[in-house]
Amino acid sequence: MSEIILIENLSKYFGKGSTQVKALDDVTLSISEGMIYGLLGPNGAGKTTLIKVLLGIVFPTKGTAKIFNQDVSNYEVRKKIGYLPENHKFPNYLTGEEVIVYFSKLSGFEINKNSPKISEVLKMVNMEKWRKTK
Amino acid sequence: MKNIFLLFKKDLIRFSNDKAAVMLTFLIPAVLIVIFGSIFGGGSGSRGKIPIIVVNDSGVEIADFLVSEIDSSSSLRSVKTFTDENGIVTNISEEKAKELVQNGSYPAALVLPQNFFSDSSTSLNFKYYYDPRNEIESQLIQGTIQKTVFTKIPKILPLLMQKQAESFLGSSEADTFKTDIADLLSSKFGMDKDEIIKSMTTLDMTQLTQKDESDSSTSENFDIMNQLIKFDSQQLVGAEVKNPGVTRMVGGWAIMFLLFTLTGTASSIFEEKQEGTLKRMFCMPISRSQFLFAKYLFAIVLGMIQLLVLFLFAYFLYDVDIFSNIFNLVFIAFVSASAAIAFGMVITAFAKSLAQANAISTLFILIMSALGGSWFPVTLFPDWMQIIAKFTLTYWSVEAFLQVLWRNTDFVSLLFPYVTILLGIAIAANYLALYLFKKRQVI
Ligand SMILES: Nc1ncnc2c1ncn2[C@@H]1O[C@H](COP(=O)(O)OP(=O)(O)OP(=O)(O)O)[C@@H](O)[C@H]1O
Ligand SMILES: [Mg+2]
Repeated sequence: MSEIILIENLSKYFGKGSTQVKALDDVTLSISEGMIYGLLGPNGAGKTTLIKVLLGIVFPTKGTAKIFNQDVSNYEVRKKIGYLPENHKFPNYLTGEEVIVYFSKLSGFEINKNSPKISEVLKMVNMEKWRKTK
Repeated sequence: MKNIFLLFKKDLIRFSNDKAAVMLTFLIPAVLIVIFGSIFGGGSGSRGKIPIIVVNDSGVEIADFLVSEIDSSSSLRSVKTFTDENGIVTNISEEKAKELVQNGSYPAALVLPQNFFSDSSTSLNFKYYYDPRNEIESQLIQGTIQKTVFTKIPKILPLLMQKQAESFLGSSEADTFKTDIADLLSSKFGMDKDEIIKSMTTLDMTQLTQKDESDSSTSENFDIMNQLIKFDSQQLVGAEVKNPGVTRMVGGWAIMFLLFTLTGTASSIFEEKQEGTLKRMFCMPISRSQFLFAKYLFAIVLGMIQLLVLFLFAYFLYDVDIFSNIFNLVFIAFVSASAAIAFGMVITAFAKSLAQANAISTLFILIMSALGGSWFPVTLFPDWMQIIAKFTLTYWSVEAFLQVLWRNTDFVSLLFPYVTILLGIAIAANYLALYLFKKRQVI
């Protein structure tokens, strides 16, 4: 089985000196293809930080993290990843369908406002009435 | 009452915790008052002497005397030599003087030509080339030259008048004229009659160099002297500009607005962070450099459109000629916008929050605008401030716009130093911003 996620001696520190927080301290972990993995821990354990490192939202202090055999600093790997951040927002200057088109295009999909795919996914989450609303 | 006190205390703590607000409230007024004070007199250091080129091709003693008077002027600094790129110092010729005034190196040149004064002269002939790049400065120079010439000349006035009479009447009748004119002068100016006759016959240099206590520059005197002293003035720059006032200032406004708008564009990164949309973006398969480059591009386009609107207003309302040098104007607008957004990026990369970014940028933009010539011409500043001005981005942008709109400069002369320096600032600032973004992980 090939390893989809490979994390080796990963550390992430925030801040400096006496107020420094070691959010991740020397984490090594590998997850193989087909596995479903639950990441559990108390508040402040570093779960979100680990995911953020994997997505390139924050940069590691030490160690390496790979997805699909590529370092996470290579942004192209994110094309194959779906992620819903905590407390995120979609831009309030875009309508429902525009959000879908915009972020799909960023992920490399060919799509426009008339694609049948849009109503398909909106129906899936029961949000069709927000299609034209910002 | 107790509630009022507690609420008052809350406002006080809120305010003093906001370092940015504290800085804006106290630092900006303090810095600006120092700048204003230094420009409009008082404070430390008075206004610098205005440099003007003096070319003396005449070789007669009166010319040397007048030049030395201008040399010792308290408001003018006479420039006679020119140092070229190889460090070779040469005397400035009339041709070179015109060139230096034309390209903005000096505001004016006074030439005492070969025919300044000779035995057959009936008047003193000056040539005066100028560039009214700054109204106040221009009037100061002309006023000082006229005052110097007109207050020192009365001593040689009789001689000139006699010369005029001789060429008119022939020398035999000139003698009677001499006594007549002596009568006239003694009654009009209260000069001693014998002295006048004596000075009409011989020009005594020691007499000239004596300090003249009575300031005889009244308007009555000026009328007579205007015939004896010929100022051949030629405005070398901006003569065909319809609205000099606005034309000279519009570049200053342009760069100030660019700085405000584009710093705002750069610091919108903080807003995106607060909105929560930045995180959303960064989960996507895009790189940080693509994100920054797109913002940079947007800022430049926005800045160029802003300037387009500004210049169109200047064109329609104030007749500022923006079209005869349009390519250079657009180019300078582009270069200025690049420098302005790079400045904004540095502030954004350096600041910890939107409030901090706004405070720092407001402080810097106001100071750079005051110092760099957005509000008043730099040539009005004391010397030391003119040197500091050259360290601001605003200065180079203002000067570049002046070159285009006021001097109608060609592209090559714009490249060095203006474009080189502005692009240099833009590139250096971008590197600094990228370095800070990486190091401080702002995004
Ligand atoms: N940007 C940051 N700057 C400073 N410290 C941070 C930052 N992000 C996280 N931390 C700190 O790192 C540690 C780990 O945080 P993290 O959000 O990863 O925890 P978590 O496991 O996701 O917690 P929760 O269960 O509350 O979501 C915490 O102590 C947190 O305060
Ligand atoms: Mg979390």
